[in-house]
Amino acid sequence: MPKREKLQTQFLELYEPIHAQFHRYCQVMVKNDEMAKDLQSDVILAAYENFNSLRKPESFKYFLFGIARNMFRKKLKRKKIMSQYQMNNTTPQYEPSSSIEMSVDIRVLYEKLEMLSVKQKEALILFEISGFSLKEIREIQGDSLSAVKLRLSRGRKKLKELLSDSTLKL
Amino acid sequence: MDDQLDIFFKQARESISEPVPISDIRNKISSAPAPQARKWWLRKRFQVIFVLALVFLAFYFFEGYRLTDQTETTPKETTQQEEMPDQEKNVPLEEPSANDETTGIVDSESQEEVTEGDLPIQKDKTPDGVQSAETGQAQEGDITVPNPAGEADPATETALTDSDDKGEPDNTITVATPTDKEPVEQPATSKPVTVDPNKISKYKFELEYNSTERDIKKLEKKLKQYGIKMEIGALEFEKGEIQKFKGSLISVNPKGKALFNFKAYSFDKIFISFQHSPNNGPEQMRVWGK
Repeated sequence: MPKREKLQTQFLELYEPIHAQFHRYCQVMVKNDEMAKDLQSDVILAAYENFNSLRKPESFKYFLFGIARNMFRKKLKRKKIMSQYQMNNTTPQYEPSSSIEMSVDIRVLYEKLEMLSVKQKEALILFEISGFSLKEIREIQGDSLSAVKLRLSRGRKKLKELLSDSTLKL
Repeated sequence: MDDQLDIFFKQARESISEPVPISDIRNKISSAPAPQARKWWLRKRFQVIFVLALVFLAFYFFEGYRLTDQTETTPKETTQQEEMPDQEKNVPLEEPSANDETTGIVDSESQEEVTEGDLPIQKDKTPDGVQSAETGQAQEGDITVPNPAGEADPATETALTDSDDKGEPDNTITVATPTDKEPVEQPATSKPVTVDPNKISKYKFELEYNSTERDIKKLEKKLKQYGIKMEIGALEFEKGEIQKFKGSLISVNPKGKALFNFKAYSFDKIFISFQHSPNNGPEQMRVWGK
């Protein structure tokens, strides 16, 4: 088997088990279906191009999500610069869901998630929406298990406070 | 609220569309350029280190060579320098003359001036009365500092702040000399203050993960009262939470240092504890997170 094909199969073997989870992560991060797909494909291509720099296959998740995080930040920065010229396009585009009520809830949830710190938000998305285990989140975020637990509990607590505030206002 | 949050997350999970089929990704990868070969940055780094080491060695030998050259060329200068003390030794020492008395007076005056200059600092350095009044740790049978109202001890020189005739307190400091018998104004409630200089009190302060910079500054001020300086190396916040808190607690007398380095999510609370006695100052400083 040629070297290139071997690398492709290796990459796909590592990527396939987390494909759906990764898609969810991308979608919640960018909050738009099309943009999520773009981000996902960009990240996968970038990860594949730099696949040789990955030393241990166990750290593939950390590698992939790290690329996603950096790319998302870059896009956000670019978007901020663009929004200075195009003020109308700054509002996030949400996916139309089955009922209006549901979309409002999700929108509120996403808005409140933005108020959390980057790592808290990421941990919550990975745990609650992508469905990763604590150990996997530890691998992705590269911290200790207790740090991940603390991050999740604090994130949930803060989110609860924020959501209760918003319901009171409503 | 917990249930509601779970419902929100469930709704969010359900609202997410189906992912791109894996076959699409396979196609994309097969059409993508081959992965780049690993860059041998380590080898490059070694090359840089090797070149730097060579430059350093060359400089070292060059300096050594230059120094040996200098020592060879300057033997005469050193002999002249050696002769100089002998000439000085031949000069007869002056006998003490009558003028010495005057010089002695001048000296004593200058000494007085020095002590006068130092006195305010000494006054600042004795926070015993203040501390005992604050902490209420005064005990009987200990060292007493009698300070009756309206009486100033003429024998002892005390620094007094000038809050006086003009009614305007200013920062100039005058020294009550033995001839100036101005009564020291003390509050009527002042009693003999007793302080046990050996009494050890334990102190414990704490900071929370969401403490603000102001809280830390407050703590810094409090610690300063006990002779502890907080040196902050790095302090980072993100959304109202401490992300990085690195630094050290330093006590000058006795010399002591407690280093600390906290990263986000490694603590809920930071504790600072130490023992303090007026005689020995702060001791056994500890900083830990929980």
